Formats: sequence, structure tokens, C-alpha cells
Amino acid sequence: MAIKTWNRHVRDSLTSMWRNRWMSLAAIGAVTVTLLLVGVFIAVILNVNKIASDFENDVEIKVLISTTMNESKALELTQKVKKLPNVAEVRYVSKDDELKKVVADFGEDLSLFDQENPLHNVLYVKASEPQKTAAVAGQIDALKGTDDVLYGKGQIEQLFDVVDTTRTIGIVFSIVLVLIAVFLISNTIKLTIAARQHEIEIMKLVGATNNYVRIPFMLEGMWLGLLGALLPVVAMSIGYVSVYHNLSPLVQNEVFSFVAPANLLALLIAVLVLMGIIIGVFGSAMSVRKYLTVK
Amino acid sequence: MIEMKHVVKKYPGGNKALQGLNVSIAQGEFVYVVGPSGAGKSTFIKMLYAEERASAGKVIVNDVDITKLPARKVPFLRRQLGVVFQDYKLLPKKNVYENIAYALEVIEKDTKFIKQRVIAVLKLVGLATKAKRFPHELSGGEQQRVAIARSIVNQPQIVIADEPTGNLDPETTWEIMKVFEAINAQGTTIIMATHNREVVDRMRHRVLRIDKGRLVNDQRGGGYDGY
Ligand SMILES: Nc1ncnc2c1ncn2[C@@H]1O[C@H](COP(=O)(O)OP(=O)(O)OP(=O)(O)O)[C@@H](O)[C@H]1O
Ligand SMILES: [Mg+2]
Repeated sequence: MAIKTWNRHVRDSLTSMWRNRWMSLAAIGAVTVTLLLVGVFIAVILNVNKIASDFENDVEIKVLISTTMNESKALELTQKVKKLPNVAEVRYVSKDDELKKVVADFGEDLSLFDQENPLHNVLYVKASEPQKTAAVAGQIDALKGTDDVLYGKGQIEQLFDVVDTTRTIGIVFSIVLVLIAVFLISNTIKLTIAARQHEIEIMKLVGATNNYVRIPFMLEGMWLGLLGALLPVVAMSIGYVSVYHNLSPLVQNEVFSFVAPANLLALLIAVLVLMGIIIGVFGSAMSVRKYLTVK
Repeated sequence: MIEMKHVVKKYPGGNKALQGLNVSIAQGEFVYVVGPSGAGKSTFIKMLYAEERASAGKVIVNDVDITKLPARKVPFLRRQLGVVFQDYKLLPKKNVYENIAYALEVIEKDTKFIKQRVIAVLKLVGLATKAKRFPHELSGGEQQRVAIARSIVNQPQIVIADEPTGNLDPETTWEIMKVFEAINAQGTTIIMATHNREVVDRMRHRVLRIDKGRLVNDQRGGGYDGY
């Protein structure tokens, strides 16, 4: 197709959008509302995922080594644990280092223990997969020379359940939402095009091919989608940065943190803009198709 | 060259608008199509640019049987013709200039050429000063003249007009008829459905009379009533 024809299509799509400005506004509004919802959902889901994996990755087994074991025996035990299946990481911390940590956390008052350290030498163990934590803990418990194996048992299993359901609900919800969005937008565009059925018929009667009729409508859909994505992109950018900066200090000491704005927004903006364009273009292509079957 | 052989048109619902029509029109002819309201004049005309398809028979336009023309080729048939529709069919969201230019844009003419041609035909139909108006800002007669301008702007070999003077005052009617006469004199075939007795009687050409979907009279140089 010649360049001048493309220029005419672009010009036609823009003038048509302007001359049908109320319909255009309605379509842009529909895109805006749905993409805003989609944006919020994506932000929530990405954060739920992040928090969940933060928790998962934090699941650590704490092995208290018997006080009867001296340092070299403790190191032997470390080697044994390392050779167990599904063990990803083993970290040995001597009771002196443990004490230093406690002192650092709770202040000088505890320095009186300097004389006689009541703590155990400790192994921190991570399973290759968070779900294998319980099994690994059991294997370690069976080894000689451990006083206790701690990993928060029931709570952790519960946490995994909660995380899994949240994820599933989130994914199902966003799929439903996206489907509703597509339906809503293609319906609005269909409405604007139904109003122009007469126009399409005339174009065909004066010798326009289907493509010649279709392309300006699809371009128009693209502009509408882009304009509809504009507000959600801006709102999500400002909104997420401010929510992030307000909430992050509150969870500073937790094992999890929120997704950094730069990471989240890059993905979010790309998704919103792309969704706007795709919905606009396909919405109008689908709606025009019906009227192009003029004899 | 236009030829119809035993053309039957049955509308959905069973209405037989054309019942075995035979006619042949040579290149360069000027033909009136007359007959009472509901006789089938518009249907006859719609056959020629495939707005309606024949239920039976053959419709040959420029050596092509368009009853067999696939839908995707129809636009190319229409580009060879100029059509003035009975209800004008102007694009409501395009102004006068854009409406006429559209017929040239679909055939990918240059912008400069389009401008020249559109201005020329606007002058010809006496609307040079109203190029920026939208259809709803024009009188019925003015809209009709825009439709006429659009039908001739691509200099087609055949102009098909369905009551192109139906809404014009006598003076404008003669102006427009002169335009049709002039393009006919350059070799363009004109096929014009009309109820205008004065026009048919004064500017004598071949007259096809249709009644109840049949060709009942075909007379060269005949008047509106056939003599
Ligand atoms: N789309 C349609 N569906 C069903 N019947 C139709 C349709 N178009 C026309 N008809 C019928 O076909 C017959 C011929 O109609 P047509 O429009 O060809 O008449 P006409 O000679 O052009 O009349 P007029 O002088 O009033 O314009 C009429 O009986 C009309 O009611
Ligand atoms: Mg008619």
C-alpha cells in the first residue's frame, strides 16, 4: 500500500475519532476503568508473589547441636548434614557468634554471659525446595548429636497453603477481569461502529475495498486503546510509588519486602499499553467485520 | 457495454422486483429509465454496481458477468462506474470536499490531482463555495449535487444515476442536465432513472420503460409517454 494511502488512513482515523468525540470518550473511558482495575490487580498479584517467595526463601531449619559435642565433632556433623538429600545450604554458627548476635540484638545487658555461654552451636540449613523443609528436618533429627531441630512446623505448612490459595485466587480473578475488560471495550467500540454502519456501507459503494474501510477503524481503535491506557499508567505510577514508600517502612524488619517500583512499573506499563492497543485494535476489527459483508 | 439477460430479482420475502429483464446498452449511449414508483427502476440500477445481486439471469458490465463476481472484486467494478444514489449516500462525518475526494482516494490518486479534480467538479455543479460544509448543513438539492459531483469525479466510462434531479429546482435541473449531456458528449455512457417528464421530453434520448419488473417499452428518442 502506498505511503500516501497510509497517511490518509492515519488522517481519517484521527478526524473520525475527533468527529465522533463523544463515542470516542466513552470507549476511552471503558478502557481506562478496566485497565485501572487490571493495573491494581497486577500490582497486588506481583506483590503477593514476591511476599510469598520471600517467605518461602526464608524458611530455614535451625539445628541445636548438643552441648556435649565439641567444635570438631560439630563440624563433622555439618559435613553429614551437607550430604543429606535435598539440602541446599548449611551454615555453621558457633555459640560464641550466636551470643554476639544476641548481644547485638538486645544490647549490652547480656554481656554478663561472657563468662559462661549458655547457647548451643547451631546449624542453619536450607532445603533445596521450601516444601521439602519438613522432610529434611526429620532426617537431621535422626542424626546423633542434635538437641533439637526447629523450623516452625505447622505454621510453615499453613503459610504455604495460604500463599497457594492467594495465588490461585489472584490468577483466576485477573483472568476473569481481563475477559470482562475485553468484552466491555469491544462492546463500546461495537456501539460506536454500529452507529457508523451506514458510513461503512457508503464507503464500500463508492469502491473502497474491505481493507481500505477497515484500516482507519483499526487505527482509531489503537488510538482509543492508547489514550485509554494513559490515565491508568500515570495513576499506577504515582499511586504505586507513594503506596510503596508509605508501606515499606512498616515492614522493614519483616522477612519480606514489596516489589520495587522500578521493577513493577516497567512490567505494568508495558502490559497496560499493550493491552490497550490489543483490545482497541481487535475490538474494532471484530466489530467492523460484521458490517463488511455488504454485498 | 452493458447487457442484461433474463434478469430476475426476488427480494427476501418473495417480492419480485425484476421479472426477466432483457436489455443491451452500448458504450456512449444516454438512456432514461422511466416507470411508475415501485416499477423496479432502482432495482435495475442496483444490479449494475452489485448493490443487489440478480436471483437469475446475467448482468454483463464491461464484458464481465457481474452475477458471478466474487465479493472481493466488487470494489474494482464500482471504481469503473460513477453512481448517483437515489438517497445520495453522502458520508455524514465528511465535508463536501472530503466526500468527493474519497472516491479518488480509494483508487490511490495523488493529493494534488485529487484537489484539482474535486475543485473542478464542484464548480461544475455550482458548489465551489460550499466545499467545507457537512451534508447536514446542505439543502436536499445541494446534497444531490454533491452526489452527482462524486459520481463523475473519477471520470468513469459509465455514469448511473437514480433520479439525480429529484430534488432540484427547474433551473438547477437544466444546469445539471447540461453537465450530464457534456460528459455524454465525451463518450461516457449515461443511465438515468427519472420521473421528470419535462427532462425526458426536452432532451431526447433512448427511453426504457419498466413496469412491474418488466421492460415494456424501449424507444430511441422517445418521450416520457413513449412518443
Ligand atoms: N430491499 C428490498 N426488500 C424488499 N423489497 C424491496 C426492496 N427494495 C425494493 N423493494 C421492492 O421492489 C419493488 C421495486 O422497487 P424499486 O425501488 O426498484 O422501485 P423504483 O422503480 O425505483 O421506485 P421509485 O420510483 O419509487 O424509486 C418495489 O415493490 C419495492 O417495494
Ligand atoms: Mg427508485
